[in-house]
Amino acid sequence: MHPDHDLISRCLNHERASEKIFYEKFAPVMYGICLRYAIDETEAQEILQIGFIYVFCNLHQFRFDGTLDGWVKKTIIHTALNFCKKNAKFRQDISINDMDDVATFSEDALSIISVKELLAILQDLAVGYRVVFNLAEIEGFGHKEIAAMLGIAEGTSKSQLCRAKRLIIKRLKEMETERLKKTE
Amino acid sequence: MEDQDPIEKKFRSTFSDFKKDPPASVWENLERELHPQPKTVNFWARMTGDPVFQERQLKRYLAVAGVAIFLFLAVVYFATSDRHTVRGQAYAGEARLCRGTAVLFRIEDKGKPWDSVTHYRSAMIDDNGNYKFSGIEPGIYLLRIAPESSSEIAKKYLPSWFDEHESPDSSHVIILNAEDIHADVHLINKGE
Repeated sequence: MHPDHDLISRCLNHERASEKIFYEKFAPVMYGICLRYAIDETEAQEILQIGFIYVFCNLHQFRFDGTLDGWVKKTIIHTALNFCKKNAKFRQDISINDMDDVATFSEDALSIISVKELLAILQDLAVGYRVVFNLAEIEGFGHKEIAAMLGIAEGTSKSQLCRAKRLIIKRLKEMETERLKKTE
Repeated sequence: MEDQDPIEKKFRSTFSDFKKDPPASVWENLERELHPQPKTVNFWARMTGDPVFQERQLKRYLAVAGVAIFLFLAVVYFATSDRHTVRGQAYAGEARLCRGTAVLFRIEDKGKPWDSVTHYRSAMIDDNGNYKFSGIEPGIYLLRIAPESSSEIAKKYLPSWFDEHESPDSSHVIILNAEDIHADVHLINKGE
């Protein structure tokens, strides 16, 4: 029997206590995901709330053939994508012609950067870059999958990712410079 | 194996197990969405079309108005409780007088002759000879009955004072203090 079978059954019976247990079990991780796709905490909370409504309303579709957290994560990411699509301009095709910034970037700067700073860098990105970067670099999807998920060309996905990386590196460099100034 | 991009490596390692507790308000809103409360319909809001109608305030107004109405009715009741009715029938011979006027005069004098006779109220006599004065305050009164001047009865009978007198000086008085009075009047025949 699936380890979450009882919990799911009780949630399907709309038992409030079980729904809360379910929510508390997955909410911290899912909120972490939402924060990466949102521009700020308020938007992340909105995505989380909509995502969990979708989770509870579609829980009967869970087939017990995988992990529950994987299914919930997939649902939350799907919700985040739909949320971002409303504001996104995914179809901007930016040419990949300059990767020098990536080559010259110092890896040392990355080792001292905090989670909060990384999150701030992500949230500062334009929605299209942010979504593609999340899907490609953190979730591990290929450009073909991302293109299908977002309804864009594969080349667009690649260019968005490239542009996102360049912007991240630029921001990392700025932060490194600021740090150096402070230490001097 | 191809080296992993340092940016990708950093972000993936950082966020692969990243978690943060959302604020309690998310669950509260979520719970409200999952288990919506039945809406309580404010009767007065629905009646007035004002969604923020202050029902408590209206109840206060109604309570004040109720007290005011009660006080008003109490005042009216006590103000009229010592008032009485004077009623009776007017006769022309054996028959009842058909239409005429009944007039009530108030007397302030303690004894005859009546110097301070003042008109108090008039009433119509109906086809059956009935008259009625309501809400009369306690006092001493004279009652005069007159047939309709154009009627045949007026040619035969004189206007008369209670209970069958030609002048007020000889009339009986109606003393009104504790109860209603029934006073019949007989018109005086001109031929008598």
